[in-house]
Amino acid sequence: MASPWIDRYEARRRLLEGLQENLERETKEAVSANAHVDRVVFRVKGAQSFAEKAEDPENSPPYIDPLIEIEDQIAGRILVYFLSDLAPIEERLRETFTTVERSERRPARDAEFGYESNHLICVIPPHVVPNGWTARADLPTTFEIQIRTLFMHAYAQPQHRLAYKAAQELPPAVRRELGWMAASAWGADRAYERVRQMLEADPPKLRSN
Amino acid sequence: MATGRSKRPPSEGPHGRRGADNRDASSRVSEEILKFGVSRLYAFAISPRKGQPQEDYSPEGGALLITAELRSIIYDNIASAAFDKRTQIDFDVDPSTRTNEVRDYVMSFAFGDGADGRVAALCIARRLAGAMDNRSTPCLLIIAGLERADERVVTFWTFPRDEAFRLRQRRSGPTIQILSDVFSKTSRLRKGAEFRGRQLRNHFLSGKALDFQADHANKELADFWIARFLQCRHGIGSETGTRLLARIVRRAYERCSDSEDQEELYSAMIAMRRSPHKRISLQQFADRYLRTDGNARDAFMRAVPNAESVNALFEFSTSTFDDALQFRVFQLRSGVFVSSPLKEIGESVQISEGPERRLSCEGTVVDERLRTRHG
Repeated sequence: MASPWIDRYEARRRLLEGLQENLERETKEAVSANAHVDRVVFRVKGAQSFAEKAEDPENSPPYIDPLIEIEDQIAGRILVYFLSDLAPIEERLRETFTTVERSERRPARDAEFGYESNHLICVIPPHVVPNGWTARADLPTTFEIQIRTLFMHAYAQPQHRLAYKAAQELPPAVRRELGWMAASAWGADRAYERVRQMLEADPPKLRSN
Repeated sequence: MATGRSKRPPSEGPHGRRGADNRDASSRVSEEILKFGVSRLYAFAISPRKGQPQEDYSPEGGALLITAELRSIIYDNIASAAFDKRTQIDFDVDPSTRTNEVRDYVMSFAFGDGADGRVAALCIARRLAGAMDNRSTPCLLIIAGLERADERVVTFWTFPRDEAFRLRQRRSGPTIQILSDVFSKTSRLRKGAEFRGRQLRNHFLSGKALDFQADHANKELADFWIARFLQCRHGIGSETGTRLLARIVRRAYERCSDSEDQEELYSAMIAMRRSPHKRISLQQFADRYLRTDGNARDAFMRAVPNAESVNALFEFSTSTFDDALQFRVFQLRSGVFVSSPLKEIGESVQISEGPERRLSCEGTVVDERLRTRHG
């Protein structure tokens, strides 16, 4: 049976899409001075994904009004080249948007490798809301931004599709393969950072033609 | 605070000729706010106490009995403040704990029981006293809580202490008495704030502020109400607001085909860059620098993205503005185009005014390109 949330969510899609477009433009402008930004992408959450999140029995505490409270209905992602780009990009975003929550998603234990990303929850600024937004009382007041390196993303995105939503515990062999990929991404990020530092400390001479 | 209900429609504010619009909006707000019941009302006489311990400070005042007359004054004040047309402010929340002292008091005042409300009101009063230094005038703080179903509205008001004359007719003749314990309801130094929402994790993160000093050139004064007392920041940040202004000016410029209108926009840009008032809204920019009923103003206002951003104050950044606009392009009678970075105008690019505006430019050529058309 279709979730009752889907129709209610879809009724606001046009407004969410208008907001997504404006926030993406605003974010691109905010980080445009940084040459190490690979891409800035915003999306509107899918209706099915929203319904699943709204009805998830593991929500603690449960949502009172998911249409307002779910904060990734509009979410943006900024991919940067190097680990050392994460902090300045986050600083730019915190200057641009009022940030109410910040979290670093990392594996719980030092010996584990897995999903890594920095997440911000920000207040939707007044100048980006599309016409008709304030007339409704069932819209969010916040949105999410994720900031990660290309290697963090290279691990996270396929893993999300393949394993994140698996209903049952993953087989040990799959978990081990995923762990190896996460560790490789973790190591690659640090290797790139070292290369960057070495080249900055001792820049190679330009080849003369 | 005066107790008579004002019959005067609200027209004060930075809107100038939009007074009629404000009256319409105000009547809509009046109708809407009347659906809320006044549930809590506190008043305190506050004196400056910056730098002093606040824990033991008990300002004179407390809970008020909500009479029909007071209820009417609260509705009238909210309607006349036209909060929907005021600048958006966001609580400066600690992102690691998602907390803000003032927001916590506001939520407690709005949703807590009677004791919670009393404690929250006292903490807000103490905080205001602690934010005021000796340059501040003692004031009356009024905190009102309104409710409708699960929705709450919390408003703060401060009215500065004033002196008033009272004329009395006695048998011996008329006398004048000076009242020194009154608070001015109409002073330009009065301030207000409104927060509304439900008890949800992402409600009560933003509000609206009424503060006629928020654009004061003195930053200490300008930041007193919104930053120091309310612990908020403007809903549109400095660079965001400046880029928005630049985008709107550019769009307006492109929409204006008449060179006089383009010149007016250009002059407005230059005037803004030189103004000591660095905190501004889009409406104030139009009011200060563009002719009423002119094409440039019309093009500017039509380029504003939405009603929510018109009155939002932001800190103007000259460098961001110059970066965003980058160039001024001149067409000479000879068919030559001269494009110049804004910062070079008046420096290496000189424009002399007179019956004809003339341009001269001097500099060292460091690059030369062939273009098929002006770019």
